[in-house]
Amino acid sequence: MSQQPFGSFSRETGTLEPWRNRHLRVLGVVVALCFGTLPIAAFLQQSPPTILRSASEPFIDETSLPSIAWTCPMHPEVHELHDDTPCPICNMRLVETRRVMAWTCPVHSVIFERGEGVCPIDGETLVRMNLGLAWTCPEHPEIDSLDPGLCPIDRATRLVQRLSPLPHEDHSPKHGGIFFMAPDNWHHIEGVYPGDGRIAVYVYDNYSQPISAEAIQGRIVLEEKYDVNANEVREVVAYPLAASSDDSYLEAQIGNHELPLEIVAKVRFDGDTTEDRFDFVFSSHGQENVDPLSLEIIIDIPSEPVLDSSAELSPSSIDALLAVAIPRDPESIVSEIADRDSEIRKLLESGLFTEIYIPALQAKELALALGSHTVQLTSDRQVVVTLAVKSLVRSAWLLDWYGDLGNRPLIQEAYSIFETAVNHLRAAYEIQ
Amino acid sequence: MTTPYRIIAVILLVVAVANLRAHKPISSKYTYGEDVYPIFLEHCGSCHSQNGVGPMSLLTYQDAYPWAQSIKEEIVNLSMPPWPAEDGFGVFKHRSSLTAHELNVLVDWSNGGTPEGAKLNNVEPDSTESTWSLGDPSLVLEIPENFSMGPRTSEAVHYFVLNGVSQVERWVTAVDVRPGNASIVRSVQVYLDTTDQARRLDAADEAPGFIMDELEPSFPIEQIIGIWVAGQSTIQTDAGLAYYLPADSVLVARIHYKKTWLDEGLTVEDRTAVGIHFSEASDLTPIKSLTVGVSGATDTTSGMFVNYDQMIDESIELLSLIPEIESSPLFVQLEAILPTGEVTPIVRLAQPRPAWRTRHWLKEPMQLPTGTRLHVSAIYPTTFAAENMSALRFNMDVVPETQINLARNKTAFVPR
Repeated sequence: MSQQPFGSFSRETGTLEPWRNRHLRVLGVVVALCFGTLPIAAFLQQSPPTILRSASEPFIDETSLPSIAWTCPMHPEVHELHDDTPCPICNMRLVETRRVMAWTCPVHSVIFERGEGVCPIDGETLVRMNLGLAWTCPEHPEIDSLDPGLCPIDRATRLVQRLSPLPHEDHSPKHGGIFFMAPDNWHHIEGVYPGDGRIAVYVYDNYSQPISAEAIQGRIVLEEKYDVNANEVREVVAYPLAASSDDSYLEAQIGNHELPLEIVAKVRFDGDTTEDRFDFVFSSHGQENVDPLSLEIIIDIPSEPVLDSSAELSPSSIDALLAVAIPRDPESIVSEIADRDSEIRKLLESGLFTEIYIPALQAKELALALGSHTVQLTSDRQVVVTLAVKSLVRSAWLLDWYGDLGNRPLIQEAYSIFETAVNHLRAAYEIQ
Repeated sequence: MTTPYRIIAVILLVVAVANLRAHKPISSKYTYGEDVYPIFLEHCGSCHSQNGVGPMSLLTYQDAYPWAQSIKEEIVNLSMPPWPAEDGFGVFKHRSSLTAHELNVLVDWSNGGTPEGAKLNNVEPDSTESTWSLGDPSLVLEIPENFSMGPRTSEAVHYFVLNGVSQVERWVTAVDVRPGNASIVRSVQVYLDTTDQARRLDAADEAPGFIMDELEPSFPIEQIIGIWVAGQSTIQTDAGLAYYLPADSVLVARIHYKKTWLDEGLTVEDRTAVGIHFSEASDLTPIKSLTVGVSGATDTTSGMFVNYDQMIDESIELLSLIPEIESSPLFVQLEAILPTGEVTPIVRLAQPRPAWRTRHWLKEPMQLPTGTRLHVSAIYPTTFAAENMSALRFNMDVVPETQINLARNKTAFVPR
């Protein structure tokens, strides 16, 4: 293990435990529903497990701790150096926190370092992660302290550092545009076509914080053509992306075009060797300078709670969105799957890639329900259905993943697997 | 709740959902303790355990969950588990790929917050325990010297002549392997060389063992008497069947070494041992080889699709098969079209990779009468160029029906 980078998680130096506060999460859902705010998505996502360091090998030198700052209990992305104003999102009173940074692999989050570098597993550039720092007793994880010291329960054991990765994955557009995630799972990109002959591209980190456009290169491609002889796609019309005067975003002058407008942003982040592709379909002009908070629909908060705080988390709104009634007979199940297939095709044609996951994951649930019906089929059709169900389940997850990335060729590749599986199911059950 | 509040709640839910549509904060209903661990144990634990060939264990929650993103990507890309035989198409003695339900559980859990669920008190198996999976072999042959992988080498394929097999003829029922360094030995194939070429190649190479261009092999590699792949169990031939080994045979071990990221930059050594199980029975039927498929670009290749048929001219029992696929198809499948027209699935491989080549033992031998057509079909990506078509074959272990009858009637010793 001598090659393991300093600070990596190892079973000799630390243990890991899941985030336990389910009640807080339930309360968060209730509060977020009441307020109807944008970052609810981040909150519904189950927080990643926390990382515990042993007292003998702390992650942070305890003689020079990061300063106390303030954050919102419901919106951990809020980070203020004072507590004289409430949360700018939900108006709650801020609470004390300590923040530290670590660097991790985009895919292999087991790697955990104190500085920039390269992932020892796949060579990708390490990405920064923000962590909440607290102390707890090794045997009493309910203890949560903002300072090192002795465990208040046994008054003998030294408190250990607990590092909590902050929730992320807020994929809400900040400038009224279209929002995608980069394949490194770290960078996020928003494309806006404000209607003045230019495309603006904003780049964010994993915590929805804007990233300077200075070190980012790219171009906007308006037309591509497949060269049969060379077996490759060539760009026919492309415009370079240049950083704005204050480096807050990138822009390209492409002229005025009719809507809907299909463009491709090809972007290289921070010295990456690979270029990422994002397929934007603009059906309207975004309000580029819109304040994200003004996108909220303001509704008077009732004096009585809308939902009881004892309400179950499940079915949450997202569960409700993905819930699907399973018909009793397999033919109806396959018809329902075919309906989802049609929905996906329409979303694909409209460029609404980030919404494809809904019919895709619904179709997956329907397909899994076919498993109990295959005994009614002839043996050769059983084989077809078994293979098609697995293929559909896999491609539904691929559509979910690639939809977030906004990469049309990858989405189409996944959809062709999905469509073939649907066709095999239709043939097996003789559904027109 | 009063009606006005109910209406407001519905409006708020719609507002919230509208905000969510950009992504999917699914919190998985599957937990490590109840749902995920049993699948890891069944499909992954033979490599991904403490000190196993995999770079991390998946058999404890603490070890597994930090790899969630990687687990999801490997599974949906069909890279892991590396056994490409599709569940539901043919039945085999060893593990096949994940079922649809298993795949869904693992990806849902990886994608949805990796909940732990019930704490497990499982004792993780230690892969460093060196035991022979089928009990003590009849003969143990170590590679002649330690093999060393330097700090700049990540992957190597090396051939070693195994001396001292037997001066008399033998019948082999199983070939087992005890890796010297379990973290780098990915696979071992044991060939029978009746030409003495391998011994000459070894003598000409000063370093331990020898290397060769596998596209143009310098000794015959058709007769494979054993394949061992990390993570796969060793299979013994059915009673009465064995691989025939002439007197003074030369056995050659092809060892595929690959470091994980934990060993990168280090010098690591290996001294693998091959264990051979002989049968002393006198009425054994020899297992023979039959190859079906294509070896390169042919007129059977047309863009994305390859189809190839081969008629068998005597009745056989099909025991097992080794896919020899050097190109990169999306799918390859082998079916038997019986003289009656009935189509019987044999094996279907999803994105097979040469590095994980293994012998697929059928759960039950398959009777294929004279006149059966073996049908190989493959689908390649649209970007695949036909001129890059390489080996797309199945090396099958079969027993001709006439020899089975001879052996079972105990009429005579079956000559080779």
